[in-house]
Amino acid sequence: MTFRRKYRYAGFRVLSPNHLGEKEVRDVIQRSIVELLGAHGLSRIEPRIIEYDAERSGGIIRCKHLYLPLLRASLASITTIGEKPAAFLILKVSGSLRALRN
Amino acid sequence: MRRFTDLHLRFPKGDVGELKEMLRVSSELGYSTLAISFSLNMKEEIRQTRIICSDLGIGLATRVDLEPKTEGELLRAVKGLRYRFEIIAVKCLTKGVARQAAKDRRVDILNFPTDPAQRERMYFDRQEAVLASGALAALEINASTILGEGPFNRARLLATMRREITEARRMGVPFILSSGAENLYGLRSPRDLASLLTLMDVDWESALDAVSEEPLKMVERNREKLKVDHISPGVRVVEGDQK
Repeated sequence: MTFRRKYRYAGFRVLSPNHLGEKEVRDVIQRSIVELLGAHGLSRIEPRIIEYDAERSGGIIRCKHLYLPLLRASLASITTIGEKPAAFLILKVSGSLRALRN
Repeated sequence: MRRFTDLHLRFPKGDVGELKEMLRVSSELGYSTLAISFSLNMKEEIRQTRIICSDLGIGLATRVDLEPKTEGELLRAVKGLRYRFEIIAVKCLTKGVARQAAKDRRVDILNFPTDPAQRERMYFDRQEAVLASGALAALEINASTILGEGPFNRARLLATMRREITEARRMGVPFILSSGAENLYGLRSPRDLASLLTLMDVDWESALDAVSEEPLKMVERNREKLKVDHISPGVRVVEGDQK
């Protein structure tokens, strides 16, 4: 039996009329998880932005593998960023960063 | 492989260009069939949408949303529309309309109020589920209803919808999940939509069925009905009139 932590890596894209920085995106994600699932949910999901490209408004986020549906639900529930309409779309999910990048 | 279907996109308030962008993103997100809600006088828009969808390789199902105030009004509206639209959805604002819609085999989708307070009074209850189980209507959950509210109202809606889904599953009534998107920002990927159902205690496979199998089955059944050789379920004309 292994106690290695398993993660899922999700490639996402942000639809927004504004260009968003990495810090802004990280804050929005954390806030949406806390709003939907509370601090307990945030501690379970352990979201972490691995990379973010502000130019193409996309990046990769990591979470604990068992809580991927909860991360998806939290990201789906984001409808505005700074009073402007927005949407987070998860495009692809993988168990390893290499597979996701390929 | 699953074929994902979103049965509720609203025709955007802007021009056809905005709709084109919505359809392009939906196709990118992995949807193979989309239903767009049209009003009765939008023949030209339907024609244009068909062209866009065929260019993008997406199946289009035409949908009409009815909001009758009385049972009589519902019956009159459904009679004329069954052969013009592939999907007929009824927003149930009164108990009478809800009961009539649930037992009418021409109605495909039952919708309930979006306002949380109104929804707590007027929801898909057990009696409604019993009637719907004897007909063909499915319960529709719109993601836009949940996402459009603040945290407290969202919690109220989730509680009501969880109760509705429990009743639907108990009576074997299918439930579908749609985006209800009116613009680009209302779109979500099929698995993101399904994840919203997990908040209502639906297991992952059933949640995926609600955005793939169930809506697709409905579209295929109705397309079959709209064919000229269709007589009734399981009966169709196999040879023409030979006089």
